Amino acid sequence: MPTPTKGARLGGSPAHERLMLANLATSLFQHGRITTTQAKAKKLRPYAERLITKAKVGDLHNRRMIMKVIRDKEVVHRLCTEIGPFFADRNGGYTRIMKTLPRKGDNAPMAVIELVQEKTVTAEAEAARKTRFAADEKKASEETATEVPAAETAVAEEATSEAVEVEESESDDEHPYGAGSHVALEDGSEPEGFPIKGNADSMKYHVPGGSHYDRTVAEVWFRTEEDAEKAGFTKPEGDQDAEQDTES
Amino acid sequence: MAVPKRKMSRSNTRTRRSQWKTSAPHLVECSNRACRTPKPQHVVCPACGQYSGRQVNEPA
Repeated sequence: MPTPTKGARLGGSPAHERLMLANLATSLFQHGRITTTQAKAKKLRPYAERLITKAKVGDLHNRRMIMKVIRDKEVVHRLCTEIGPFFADRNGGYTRIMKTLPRKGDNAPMAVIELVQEKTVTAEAEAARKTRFAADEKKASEETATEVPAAETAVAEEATSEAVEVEESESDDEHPYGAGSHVALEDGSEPEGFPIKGNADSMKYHVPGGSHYDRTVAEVWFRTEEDAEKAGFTKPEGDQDAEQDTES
Repeated sequence: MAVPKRKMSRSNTRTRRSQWKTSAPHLVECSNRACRTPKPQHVVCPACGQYSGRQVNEPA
């Protein structure tokens, strides 16, 4: 006996549910992100991911299996040529559901379901933490060799534009935020005499021993905290709170 | 068909209805440092449109 599907049926009849899921999946692959009710999003997720798994194989048989569900040939083409190959390195978890406020009118709980934009889970986590996993460090160092010059120029540009506002500066490629700063070395180690890490994306600086110090990849290093603050960097909130607590 | 034998008194009606209560929704601060608006938990922030560091919606 076939196992019944979990949960209540969408729409009422099996045919209605099939059509709704097919339409939802088509819209999802067409737009990459759709807003729908939480119940539909939860039903759609395994359904859409199974289609993507078929698209990853992408041979004639699997394409025909997809065609049974998605009747729009343009969407099937996009699924097999773009979406499927994009997820080649990812084993499942191709979609993400985020809950939003209930709908006006019937107060139905709503959600946004989208195709994940990151190639792999580690890439996602690294982007969020702005750090690299130790296992990837070797590969990463090769990448940074190409990345760093671009980052440096960006930092330098930023610095020059800022420096014009602040003062006649001593900043150059080596010292993007004035004499108390130093650009990151290619191997990511500490430049001599510049112990404080600066994160140019968040504009925060981290002192040695701070909670985020080890995790931060520094774009720029500072000699003292004053130099960092002069350059427009701030202390991370967690550390500030700790300071305020001691004061009060 | 079964029908009520007696009229339900106003007192009984009102006693029953006095138990219909609402509860305040549980709100937490938005994790976006720039926003910090109270919002329901596990829900995209309605004010800034972010959820766990991702921009999901256009900010209202």
